[in-house]
This record gives sequence, structure tokens and C-alpha cells, in this order.
Amino acid sequence: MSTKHIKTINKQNLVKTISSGGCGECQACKTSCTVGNQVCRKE
Amino acid sequence: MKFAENLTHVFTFGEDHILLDVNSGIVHQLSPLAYEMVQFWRQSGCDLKELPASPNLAAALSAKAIDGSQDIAGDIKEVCQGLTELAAAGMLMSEAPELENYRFPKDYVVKALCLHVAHDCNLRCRYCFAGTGAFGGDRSLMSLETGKKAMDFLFEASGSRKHVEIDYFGGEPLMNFPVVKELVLYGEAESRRRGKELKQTLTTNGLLLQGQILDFLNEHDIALVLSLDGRKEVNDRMRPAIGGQGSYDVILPHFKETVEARGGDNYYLRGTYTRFNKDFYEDIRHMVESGFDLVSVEPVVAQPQEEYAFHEEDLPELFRQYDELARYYVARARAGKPFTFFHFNLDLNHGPCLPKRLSGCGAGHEYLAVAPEGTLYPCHQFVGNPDFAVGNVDKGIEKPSIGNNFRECHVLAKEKCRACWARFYCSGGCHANAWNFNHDLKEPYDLGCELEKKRLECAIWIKAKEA
Repeated sequence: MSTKHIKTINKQNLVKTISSGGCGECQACKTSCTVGNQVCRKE
Repeated sequence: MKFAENLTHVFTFGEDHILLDVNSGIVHQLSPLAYEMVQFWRQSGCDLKELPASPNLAAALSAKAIDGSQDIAGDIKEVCQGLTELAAAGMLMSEAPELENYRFPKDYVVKALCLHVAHDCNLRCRYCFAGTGAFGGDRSLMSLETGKKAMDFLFEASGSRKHVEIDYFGGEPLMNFPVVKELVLYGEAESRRRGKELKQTLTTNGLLLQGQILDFLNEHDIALVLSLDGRKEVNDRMRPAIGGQGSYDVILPHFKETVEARGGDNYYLRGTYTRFNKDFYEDIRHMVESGFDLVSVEPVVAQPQEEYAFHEEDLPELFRQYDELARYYVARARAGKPFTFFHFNLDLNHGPCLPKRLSGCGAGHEYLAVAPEGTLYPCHQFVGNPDFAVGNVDKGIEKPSIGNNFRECHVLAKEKCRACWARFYCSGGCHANAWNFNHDLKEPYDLGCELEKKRLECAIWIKAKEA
């Protein structure tokens, strides 16, 4: 959506990846583990 | 439809208003009017369709929100219509009933090992969780035989998984370079033979990173994590050599040569900030302006009695530093001089799937650490704790219950995490931190949570600025 008042900036819908994801082929810090900043190899 | 706090996160960065739909991960940027209407919707408890007719709405709107509007009633109606359409499209207040009874696949495979090739170090970093390299035991090096057995274990335990990873770690892994070299070659040959894609990484303090060692690591495309804390006085206070002298003047030229030799790619310059440098933005700026484009700097994780440890009262200053860093990040990008800050990496269109986000870092089941003598642990931070030894490279996993326990400590199993807006980005946080601070894998480390949420807000704001 892109209107005067609301602009949507991304399209990946995580809910849809519950069934489409999970292949397990995905991969700096060693102390502040985060998963959200990874990238899906398939996508 | 009423506003649901656990399904959304609304925040402001500078003049920009952001609305995150938590389950879908969809991000919306709001005008001042839309933002104030969402806040009114949230605080009034009214239904969205009743919002335009609410007698209190007009009084709640600021001059800024209605500034420039030729038709405020029409604009209010447009915002409500937009929010309604987003909800209908599953992009606002989205539910994920599939998660209520989500079950991980029964079988899991190991896909990464952290090889502790050296429980010894040539620095004496004051905050080292490895006890200056020895992990609370004797100083020791991994043998080639043990390293090969570990690799064979990984290749076997990874099943049909194509991508596997090895990180050479310590201590200082380059203190055992002859074994590292042979293992790199063995890994390359075995992965080819078995049809695997092997990524090899090495974490080093840089003292020995030169000459033939550097040439070998570059020739074999080994990803490097280079440890430096920033400005000279900051680095040398926390990262002295064995004799007490600073390490910055030796290490920085090594790192510059390394990065130049590999074309500025396939590395991270990785630092730790402590209570001694709460102005850590200056350290990151120093790194970037010294020619390093790929940087990752994290807060020290230390027990509160340590003088360099953070306390809750430090958070406002640390938040301001992340704000400054985010603005610097955007300014550099706009000036054509971008850099990468690991914790601002956020791919909102090709990020990990929800099953991955639920499983977290994989410690204990997908990811294991191998001590020099071959004992397997859930991750590098549990090495040396006999209660967490899960097996060894000779016999494999002997205590699957430990791995299963880690696996069951996913983000939805943690009470604090279940309603947290950041749950699908941090995935429940670090198991080792939870254990070290709360002696409970399901009780996350609070200070880490607050900093993670701040970094995430900055990363989302950056994405909004780039859109």
C-alpha cells in the first residue's frame, strides 16, 4: 500500500513461510545471536 | 477490530513513524495523522470502524497531524480505510494460528561446528568469556586427528543437508595454524567428495595474521572475523597482550593488509564495547573511517559486579549511541560511502522463514562446539561446563536429551518472549546468556533483550529510509 498516509515498505509475509519454509539450508558476533538479520538462501 | 498490542509494534524514530505487523513482518510507514490515529485507536480501546465517528478523535489530534489537510474528515476516513484494507490482506493485526500447535520436525541434523582448535591465547582480554583462552581448564591445542574426526562427524550428522559450516575458534586459533591448515584442506576435499557446500570461518585477534598464514587463508576463501574494539585507547584497555602492552598498533596494520588483500570482502571487523566506552558510536566511526566497511560491534556480556559490565541505568545512553549510528549509516549511504553494520542487516523481503526464526541459533542441535580433546557442547559458550557435554567426536551424541532440551527452549516456549514484538527477529535470544544470568534456558537476559530491540528499531527505520 502506498497512500498519502500509509506506505508499506516490504512484501515478505512471514506467516506464509510457515508452510513454504523450513528447508534448513540457511546459515560475526558470537555473543549477540540474532536470527532476523540472516538471509534465506532459497529466497 | 480492536488494536492488539501483542500483534503490533509502533515506534517513532526522529520524525518518522513506523508500524510493524509482528506476525507477518510487514512494515508500514505512517504520516503524522495516521500515527496519531493509530495511537488513539490503541489507547481508546475502540473498534477501528468506530474511529472516524469517535467524538474524542478530533480533540486528540495535534496541529502537526492535521497541518496541510484540506479535508480532515476525508483524510481520517482514508486512514481508516487503509488500515482496514491492510488487516483484510493479512498485513496488519495478522494472526498466525498455525503457530499455536507448531511442532518442529522430529528429526534434526547438525549443520555447523565451532572447532576450538586452541585453548590458548596470546592476548589477555579482560572480558574474555573463554577465561583468556583456556575455558577454565588447561591450555591445550586440538590435534589433527581430533579435528578430522569432528569434520567427519559433521558430514555424517548433517544427513542430506547440503550446506555445512565450520568455524575455527579459540582461544586464538592461529596458535594452532598447522592443524588449521590441514583441516581446511581436509574439509575442502571431503566436502567435494560428499557433495557438500562447506563454508569455513576463522575468528582471530590478528596478532599472527600475516605472511604465509594470511596468504593461505585468502587463497582458500576463509571468511574472517577480526577482533578489534575501536579506538586505540579503548582497544588497548581491554585487549592487552600477555605482557600488558596494548595490541592495537600491531593488529591494525595486519587487519588493513588482510582486508586489502581480499578486496575488502569476506570478513567482519568485530568489536566489543563495555561500560568504559559507552560512546561506542565513536569506535564504530573510527573503524569505518579507518577503511573497514564490514563491522560488527556488540555490548559486553558480563556479570554485574565487573566494573566494565552494563547496568540498566546505562540503557538510555546506549540507545542514543545506536540512534547516532543509524543516522550515520544512512548519511554515509546517501553520500555514496556505505558500510555494513552486522546488527543493522535486515532483509525484509528475503529474510529467514518462520520455522528458522522459531528454532533460533540452533545451539545444542544444529550447532555444536568441539573442545580440543573432542568433547561436544551445545555452543562455544558452554565449552568446559561438564553438565552440558553432549558427547564426543568418537561416539557422537551420547546425551540427546541435552540437545532436545535446547531445541524445546524456542522463542514460543519462553513466557517473556511470547508477547514480545521482536520475537521473530531475536528468536528468543542467546541460550548461554540466559543460563549465565538466570540459570534457566527459558528466562532471557533482560539487558540483551532491550539492546536487541533498540538495534532492531534502528534497522527497521533504516529500511524505511531506503524504501
